[in-house]
Amino acid sequence: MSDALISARDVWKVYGPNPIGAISGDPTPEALQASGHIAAVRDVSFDIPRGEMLVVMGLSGSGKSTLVRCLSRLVEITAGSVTVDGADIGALSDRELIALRREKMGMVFQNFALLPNRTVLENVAFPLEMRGQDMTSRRARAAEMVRLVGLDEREDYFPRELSGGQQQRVGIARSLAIEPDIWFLDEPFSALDPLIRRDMQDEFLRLQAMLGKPIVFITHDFDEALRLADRIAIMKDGAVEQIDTPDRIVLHPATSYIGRFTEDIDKARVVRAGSLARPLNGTVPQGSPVPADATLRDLARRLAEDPSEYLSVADGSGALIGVLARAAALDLLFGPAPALAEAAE
Amino acid sequence: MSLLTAEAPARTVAFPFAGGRIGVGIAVLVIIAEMLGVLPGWLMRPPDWLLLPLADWLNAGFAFARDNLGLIHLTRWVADGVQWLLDVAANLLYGKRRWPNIGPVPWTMSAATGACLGWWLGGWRLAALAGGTFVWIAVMGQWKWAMEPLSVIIVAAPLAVALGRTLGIWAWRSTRVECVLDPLLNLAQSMPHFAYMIPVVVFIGVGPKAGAIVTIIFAVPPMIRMTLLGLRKVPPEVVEAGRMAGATEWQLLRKVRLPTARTELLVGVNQVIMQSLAMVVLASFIGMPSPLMPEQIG
Repeated sequence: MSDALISARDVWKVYGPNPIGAISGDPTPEALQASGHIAAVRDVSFDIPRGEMLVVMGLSGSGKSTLVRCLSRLVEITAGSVTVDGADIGALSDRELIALRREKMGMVFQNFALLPNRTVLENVAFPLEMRGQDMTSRRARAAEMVRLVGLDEREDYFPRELSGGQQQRVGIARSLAIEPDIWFLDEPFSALDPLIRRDMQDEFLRLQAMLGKPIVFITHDFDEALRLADRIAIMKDGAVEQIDTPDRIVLHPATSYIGRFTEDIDKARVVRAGSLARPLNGTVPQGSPVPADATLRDLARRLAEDPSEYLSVADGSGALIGVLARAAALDLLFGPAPALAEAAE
Repeated sequence: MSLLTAEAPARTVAFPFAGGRIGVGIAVLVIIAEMLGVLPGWLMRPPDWLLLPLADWLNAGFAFARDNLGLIHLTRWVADGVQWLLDVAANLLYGKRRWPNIGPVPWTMSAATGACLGWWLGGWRLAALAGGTFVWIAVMGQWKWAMEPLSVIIVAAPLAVALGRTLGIWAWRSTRVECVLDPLLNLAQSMPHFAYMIPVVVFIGVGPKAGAIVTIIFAVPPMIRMTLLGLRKVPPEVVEAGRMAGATEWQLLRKVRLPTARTELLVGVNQVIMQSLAMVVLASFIGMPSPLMPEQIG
């Protein structure tokens, strides 16, 4: 096997009278619908390596929530296979599945899904209680998690006494209590208002930088996806339309559907110098190189003021990796649509 | 055009089906025939030969279930258990001479216990209400009359809650059980209070235990309904959170589903207590100690 932590192969989830029969011969969505079936997940395959944050993006009803539930077997898949850490989770017995979830998986839910009869601390300690940890050690661990998300003043509050943002912090602390290897987040910030959402994204990035866990993050918000993702999978009608890095999705949308998503995006904030760089081909550009991971927005002043036609681009170690055509970059920063098409080639 | 469309539905309402005119015609004929006195009597009221001997059938059915099927042994066994609990409660609350023979608990202590429970459950306001009510009853000189039905409720209500919750969970887990229970609950909830007593008298006899059992049976339906409703209303996300925490089915039920459904369960408990209060007074007709029939107390 590869070093993929989660790998999905030809995963289908079909609802209807005869799901298994309905998917023989790779039917179109229209054909499935005609036979009274709905495909929530259509023939999805991908690998998630250790340490990667994959953001699954799609409008409501595109199957993204179902997909993440297939990965944790909250939903039984119709066909295909899901492998987690080398084990086919479809083949696990109930007992093994429970053990897998107790040791390796954490999940955060859109509507927090806290237990109303338990305090903040008891909610966070719940997964530890399920795996039979003793009271003292699980309270200590839960208190540590509550501190991590900044709720240490409110350990003894009940969920109903907290704001939405605070409740989701409890949800995050709970999902991290068992030190999961895999972290699933199902639209964790969608139920929060925009200002708090921004705070929570920052908080989430801080935790992620600290913990470095592989993450499957579901969202319907493209800006959120661009902000957080290592890679983005865009879903439509249950199928993954494109799975790629944010700047490649913005620069090279695979379908017109994805093109529509990226239309209104400020590309200069997403596209990094490295992804626009072309091979040197013997040219020796003048001036100091720009870092490959800088966005065009970061480089805006340099791009506007530097007179040279090409800027050199260097990776993290300082080695030159290519040149950036200044005109193409400026087109992305300010430019009209026709110039964009040229830059994308 | 608009006139036509407006007219069409009006015609349909006046004569909803083709037989309308014929029906009206027959009705007019029947009325005329009745006025002339030419209709046979059995059309007006059912003759004796048409009446089913339902009472005899029911009696035979009861007798068969009780004696031939041996159901009486089961009901006796249950009733004896209830009787034992009733005796303990009666001894503690108003000093009936039964095991454990330590009652009656002094009225001051009962009032203090009520106040403590109130404080524990809802703070000083509820404590004042509970303690104050006990004191009020004592001052009114109604202590014994109040303790007698209380001794029954204190046994019947928890049993009804436990039974209703168990049946509710069972119905929630199994569609088949729900299909059987649902019409029975509809029947039970539409029956008059007194109708509960007859089968109980047949199978249990009369006396306090029969009164307690009729109270339990009467109070169970709302608890079953509320348990079922509460378990259905648990958000799927909360259940998924429980599953992702690695809960087994039993842990899910006990630590996720039931606590999340507690609002409905508490409404169920509230309904059980209300129903018990309503029934415990009527149950004096079959030998329950009660303020309605104080002379029966022995």
